[in-house]
Amino acid sequence: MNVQDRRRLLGPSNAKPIVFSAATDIQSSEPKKDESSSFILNSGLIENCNGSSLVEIRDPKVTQHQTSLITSVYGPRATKGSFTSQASLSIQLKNGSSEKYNTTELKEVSSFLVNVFNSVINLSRYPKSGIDIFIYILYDKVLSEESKKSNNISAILPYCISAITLALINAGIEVDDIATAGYYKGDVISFIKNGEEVIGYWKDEGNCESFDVALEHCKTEAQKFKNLITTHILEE
Amino acid sequence: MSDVISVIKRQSGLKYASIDNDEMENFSSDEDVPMVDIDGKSNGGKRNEAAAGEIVTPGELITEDPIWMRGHGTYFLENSTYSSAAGTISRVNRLLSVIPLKGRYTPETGDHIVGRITDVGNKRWKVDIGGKQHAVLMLGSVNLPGGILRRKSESDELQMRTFLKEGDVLNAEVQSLFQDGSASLHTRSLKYGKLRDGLLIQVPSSLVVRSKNHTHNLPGNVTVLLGVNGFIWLRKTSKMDVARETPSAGPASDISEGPTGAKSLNPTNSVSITRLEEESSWKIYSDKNDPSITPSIRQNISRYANVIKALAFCEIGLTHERIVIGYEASIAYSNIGELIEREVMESIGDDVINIEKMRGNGATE
Amino acid sequence: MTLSIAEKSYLYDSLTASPSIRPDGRKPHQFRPIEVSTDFLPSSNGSSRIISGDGSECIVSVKAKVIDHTLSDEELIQVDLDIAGERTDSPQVETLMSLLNKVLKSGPGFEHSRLQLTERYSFKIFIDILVISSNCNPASLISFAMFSALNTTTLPKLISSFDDLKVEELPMFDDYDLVNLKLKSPLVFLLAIVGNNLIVDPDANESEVCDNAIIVTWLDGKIRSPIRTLTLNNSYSKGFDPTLLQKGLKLIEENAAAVLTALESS
Repeated sequence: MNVQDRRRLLGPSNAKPIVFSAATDIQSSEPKKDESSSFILNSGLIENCNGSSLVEIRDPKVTQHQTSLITSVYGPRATKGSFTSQASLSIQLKNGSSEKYNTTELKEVSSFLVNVFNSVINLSRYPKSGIDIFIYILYDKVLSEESKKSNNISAILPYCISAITLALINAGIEVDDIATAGYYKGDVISFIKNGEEVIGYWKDEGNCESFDVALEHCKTEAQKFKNLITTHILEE
Repeated sequence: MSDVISVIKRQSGLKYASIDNDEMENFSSDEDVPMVDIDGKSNGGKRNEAAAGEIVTPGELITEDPIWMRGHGTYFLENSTYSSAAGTISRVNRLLSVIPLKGRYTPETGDHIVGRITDVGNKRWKVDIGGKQHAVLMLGSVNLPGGILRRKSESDELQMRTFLKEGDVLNAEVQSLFQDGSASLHTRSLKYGKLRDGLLIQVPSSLVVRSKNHTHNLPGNVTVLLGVNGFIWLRKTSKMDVARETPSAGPASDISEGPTGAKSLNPTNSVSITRLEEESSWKIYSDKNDPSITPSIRQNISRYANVIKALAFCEIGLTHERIVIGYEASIAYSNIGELIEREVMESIGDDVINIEKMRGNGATE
Repeated sequence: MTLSIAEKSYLYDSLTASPSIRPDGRKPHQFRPIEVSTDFLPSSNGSSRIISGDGSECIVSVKAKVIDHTLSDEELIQVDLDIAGERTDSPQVETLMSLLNKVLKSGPGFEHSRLQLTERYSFKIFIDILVISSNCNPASLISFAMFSALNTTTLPKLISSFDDLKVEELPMFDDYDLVNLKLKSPLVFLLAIVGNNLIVDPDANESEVCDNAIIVTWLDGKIRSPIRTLTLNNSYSKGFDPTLLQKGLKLIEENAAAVLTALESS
């Protein structure tokens, strides 16, 4: 039960809410490790926000990337200005020290993620409020040789989506379903409802000849992420 | 030509005005002259004064007679009145004003308008009516659920958003004007209130002429509300629309039944007290559309919307007759989507003018 | 613009009907008419101005500069976008700009090698886009304008020799003769998903109620990247059946050629 009052100014910005008990921290800092893919999920690490997650991927076989993402969710908190019947969502992506992607591209990815999560979060539940999500790309290294040059951001999109989903659940924000995505040869497709509904499609490379194949691959990968997230939540 | 897209090539994107050197010299030599009449007829004491109904341009001399009171669209300089807008001159008693040909809608008391709520405030709603300022609709100027005899209470003030909220479209009458020209509206009649079962289109307000009746039932089970401010609502004809159209002295067997099913005690009066109470229930603020809007009615509404846009494109004033003629002319195009093409819009405009001319001749005989 | 709940549900019910009834009666594959004028900016190598039926308008200017491509491997086409009334760092502008730069990235069918002048020098194309007014997502309109501008772009004619790696000389151009660049840029289409229906080129009202939308890039008879889903409103956004995605791509594939011919003939 979260007793924090989000409708009022809460004093200095570095004030820490008292709601997070130490007990949950010890529990969640126990990293959940999946042997087959070394996909590490962690949530509730950052205390100063309403929900957070850490996603780390180290697997040269399945993915092209070695990546760490920190996601923090602030909100739903009151917004200033005129009445809005539902919450407004904002997502910001930030480069880590490697400064790998240019800001314009990150903004494009951010608005794509907003589009995806607009369809998932139950925004009408939170009128006149805002939900702010920050993703920090802590570390990102391309492992496969051929895609090193293209500097492709698509491959980390599924991790971003999983990370946001986990952080949202950690923050206790109502979502329709666990949104996950899969990556296959430049195609990123995000699903809900066991792959029956698409909520996002992103393609930066190549032509659109093998869409069916990509759809199937992405679906299985998304399912895999979803299972990992569910087991993580249950273990917590 | 394919039916996917039509691309019109413009001959030249921007027109460069070619100014001859001669003309330039003329301009500079005339610089000292304070006013050059557009016709260049006379500069001295005997200037042509513009008559009522004549079109004037900004800066044009209207009269040198100081007896006129200066209204909108004019200014006064050295005992002469000049126009400050492009439009027609209107003389009402001793008030001289220029009515602009184009421009935003200027509300007048008694206008039947269609507007959209932009803001919910303290005991009032702000309504966008396409004018210079937003109009105001006071909480006291609407029918509240529970009938007109009910007093408004504080709880009504707190739940104003349950009656009308941002984005809602309503029709209303201009009750009065404030000092600054903004309008105060009221919806204290059953023909006014929240609008449903259709869509809104916008045309320049100059195309809608003020008349006795602004609600018309059109063939094809569609009703149009021509707001004087150029906002036009097209909807499925409701039972109430049918009842309103039927002459009150006519056979009243089928009109006595209101939309709520309440039998009117007084069928000769189109709005009886009992029905008023029925109508003033929460239903008048409902956001639910009539579930029985058939696809053919939806298509008709789309067709009317395109016809009205075509008439507006040809700058033809909108009347009940013209909309019906335009609709009939548009039947020749079975695909409603064709009506957005420029040539089709022009041909419909021509048809309307021609048919009206023919019928107009017939009427004078 | 906000619509009332009744208007939205009327629109949504009309659009989800089978077949869909659009508020302006268009067929699902029908675009709004556009007006194009080209080659009107005297100081640009190519220009176009495009006006849509709903008053959306955008101007594209193409300028070229000679660069030494052996020194850097930067992209030879650079897009800069300005939307009237929007800050240059607003999410809308940045997202669209990033998308357009990706649309014009070199790829099969759209090789930037066409811009190469000599062994050493290339033209670098700067495309400046100004969206004067737009009521809905202007991506499609901009791509049509870019196509018309690039299609009519003329560049100075080279008169010096192609092989200049060994001889140190700058490329020389003819004083009068211009060569038509004839670069066919990819077209971008916006496709809205409402219920089980797909509609191209949604207008402002249709955008307000659609479940989701897809931006599709098309070149030379084929769908190509970038492809994106995006939501045009946040009240009706929801997921959709994966088969609709395939249907949508097919719909674009079928009708894009007609748009291309219409644009070329103008």
